[in-house]
Amino acid sequence: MKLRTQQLSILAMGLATAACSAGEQGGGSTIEPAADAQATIEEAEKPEIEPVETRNAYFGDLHIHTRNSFDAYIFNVRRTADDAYRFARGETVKHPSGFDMTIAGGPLDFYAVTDHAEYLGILPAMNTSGTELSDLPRAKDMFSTDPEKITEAFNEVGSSVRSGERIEEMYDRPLMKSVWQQNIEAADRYYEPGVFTTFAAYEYTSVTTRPDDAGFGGGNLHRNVFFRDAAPDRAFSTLDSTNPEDLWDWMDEQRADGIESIAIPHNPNVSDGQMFKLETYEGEPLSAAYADQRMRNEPLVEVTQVKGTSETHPDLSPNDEWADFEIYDRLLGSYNVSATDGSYVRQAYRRGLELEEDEGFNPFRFGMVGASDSHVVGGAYAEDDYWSKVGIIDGVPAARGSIPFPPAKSWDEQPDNSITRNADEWFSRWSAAGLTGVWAEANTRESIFDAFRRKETFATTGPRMKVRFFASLDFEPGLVSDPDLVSKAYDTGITMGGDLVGDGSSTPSFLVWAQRDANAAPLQRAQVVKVTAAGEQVYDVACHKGEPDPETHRCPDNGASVDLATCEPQSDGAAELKAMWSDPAFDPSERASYYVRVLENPTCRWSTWEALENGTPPRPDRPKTLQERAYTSPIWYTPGK
Amino acid sequence: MHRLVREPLVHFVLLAGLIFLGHAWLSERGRSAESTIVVSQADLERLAELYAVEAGSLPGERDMRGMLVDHVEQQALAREARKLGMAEGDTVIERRLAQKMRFMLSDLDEMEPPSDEVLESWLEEHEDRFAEPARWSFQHVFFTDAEAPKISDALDKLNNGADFDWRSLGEPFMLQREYSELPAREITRLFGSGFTQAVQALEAGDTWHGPVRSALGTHLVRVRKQTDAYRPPLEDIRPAVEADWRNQGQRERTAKEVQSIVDQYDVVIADGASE
Repeated sequence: MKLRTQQLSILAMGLATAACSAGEQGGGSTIEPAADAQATIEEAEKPEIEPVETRNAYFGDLHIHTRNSFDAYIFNVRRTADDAYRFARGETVKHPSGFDMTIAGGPLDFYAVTDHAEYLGILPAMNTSGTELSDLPRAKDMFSTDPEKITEAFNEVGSSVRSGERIEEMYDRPLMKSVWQQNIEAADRYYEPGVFTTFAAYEYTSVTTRPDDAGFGGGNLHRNVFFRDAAPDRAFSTLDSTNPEDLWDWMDEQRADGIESIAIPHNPNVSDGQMFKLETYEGEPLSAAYADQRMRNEPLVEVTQVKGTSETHPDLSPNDEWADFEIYDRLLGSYNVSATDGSYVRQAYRRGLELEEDEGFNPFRFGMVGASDSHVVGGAYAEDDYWSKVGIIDGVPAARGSIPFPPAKSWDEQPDNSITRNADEWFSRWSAAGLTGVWAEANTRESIFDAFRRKETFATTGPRMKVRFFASLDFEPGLVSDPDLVSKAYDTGITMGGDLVGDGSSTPSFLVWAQRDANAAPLQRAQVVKVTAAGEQVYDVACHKGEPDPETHRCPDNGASVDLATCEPQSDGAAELKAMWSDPAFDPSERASYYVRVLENPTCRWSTWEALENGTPPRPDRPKTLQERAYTSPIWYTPGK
Repeated sequence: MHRLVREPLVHFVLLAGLIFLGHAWLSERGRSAESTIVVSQADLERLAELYAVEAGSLPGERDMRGMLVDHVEQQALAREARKLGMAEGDTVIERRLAQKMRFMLSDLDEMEPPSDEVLESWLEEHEDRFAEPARWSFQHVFFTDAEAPKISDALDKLNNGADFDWRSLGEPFMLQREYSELPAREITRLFGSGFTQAVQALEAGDTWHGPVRSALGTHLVRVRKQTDAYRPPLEDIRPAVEADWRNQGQRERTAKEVQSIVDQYDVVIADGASE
């Protein structure tokens, strides 16, 4: 019903320009916006939005696909952008496998549909009899019942997205423009300043190549592009250029025309070492101009999502006991393992500082956000209510390998077939994550987008814990218990995403402050991760129980555990963690970046919850529990003159 | 829906129709009525509408011609198939016919726009769907732990103290000390459900209450204002009520119609089929 209404308005628009003459038809004016659920949103009174000077934490998901993405439609996703926003507002929406999806933890504050720009909305048209696109032989193959033909036809689309070579007969520019317009309109329809923020957004789908990968298999260089207010009439895609630097050029051009945007890269973890490599896309040396352009267009990176964590890898951070967290390293659509070097955020921070030291520029001075990348319009953020992200191929527990493949009853009887293999290589390694937190004055496009620009953001792996982080060379003593702590910290310090310039001798103080999600597990510890050109160090700075050991910089064990027979947590944790911390190894002449990582007490992983529900043992080769976490954008310390 | 589309499409469809009729007239000339496939204006509009709905843009001349050729082929083949009795006992066809019948029942229903009386009573019957939730405006003083003397001193000062800023008491709170017009769902999202229930039980006014426990710590709370849930008048939310009446109400009425048709049949289940 909704779909029709929406598309009819496009039809009406087309008529306004295409019809013979407006005067003689008169019919155009009889087209009224049909009454539907939208009315409630439009009619709702808009309260005055009072900005909160000390800023509020708003949570959202910046990475959502709908039926208009080629790789969602093929897996039976039929839901629209309207459905996506309804889901984020707390309404229940159906998964393509037939069950209900309701958002964990209550409605979100912001949400963005980021359909792939490449062949945007083309697959739905190819599957609609009567359209020219549906007459293409490849359309008949793609929507046949022969799995081989389907795969072949779909892989051709993936290959084209990857190579940038258009399949001309599928490249229906007016149709893609019109679908892009529909997505923009849906975002506008659901934007309710002060209550719920949406953005016009899309995904740019650049992929690196390895000779043995088919379809769009390869290293992930995807970016999501967000527009602050006005959006252009088309979306720059890999079918324009597969070089992300050309995307930045296009964004710069748009910016010159008053259209402001940012791009957020995701899944550097599966970029095959390409996301943060020390050369340009074409293999040229990096330059100050490159760094400027990259930072102007990409102030943030998505560090956690369903396809794993991009913070760091155990091989890169052997002394970080928490580095082995939801690691996923298979290239896109492939069983090949991604190169680790050049694929993780913490290492990029370090390389950025090296470059700054040696060359005077830093292309990796970005903040952190989280998202789901759900292709079924709704993100699965909770371990105990998970549905993965693709569609019918990972919609049920057996397909994602959390329970033995029926009729097998135990893991010893697990058969080897294409479904269990995909579950082994891909889906069982995926993660119930993540969300973006921003500190902003109000829940509006302007305020939230500006927080993105400031990098005043933090990423969580699903729960909505809140993290404040400030630094200053001269915080007042006693600030940590001052009733006006937040406003004084803003007044006398700088916060996450910012730069702290040294004075040659003073040691900065860092205020680290975390608050649990009132509806999720309590907190175990707050940490500061320090990165310099020379290395990295993880410091526990606030503990649920006791104080960090001054030698090991570790909290005493708080004894938190989980009863695997019930998934019940076995002990309590902290509601709040707060510390004024200074770096015991601080060197006023050394560049450094500091970010906060907050860990919850352990809880059951989604695969354990599903095994429990099914009455079978959890999959032996995956962790049974995990510690949900949050990462803030760093504060960069630069030595003064 | 049809009503919305038909008129503006007329000009466009006429054009496409002319192209086709020329072709049809030449090729179909001289056949008997039984073997004539008539493509009506309504058929053309329906094809164009279908295309537009699915593709999101108007069909071009080539699309239109393609659809017409398909349509004619389909008509011809369907007639042949019917002559051969192929429609009998085909699950797909039966399912499709049942679906059409269902659509027809619900379409019949849509003919009349609902009166105010109808919507009023709909609103009354489904109050919960349109109700504005109760809201609370409150201030709180926050403590990370539950040390009783410290908190009762503060409570005493708040309720009996001289002129001073209540914000100077307690410990720093990461978010806001004062919230206005929050529905229960929002309070729970921020503080957990235990706190929401406690706040709901408090009297609005000048008095501070507590200690109140939340997932975050201990609070002293003053509820400044509480508004009850209420049902907005029909004139404020008419489009939403009408949409709900159409969607939900139609489904319910259609289900009734279907039941009354089913009731006209005797159903015999063969022995053993009930296993």
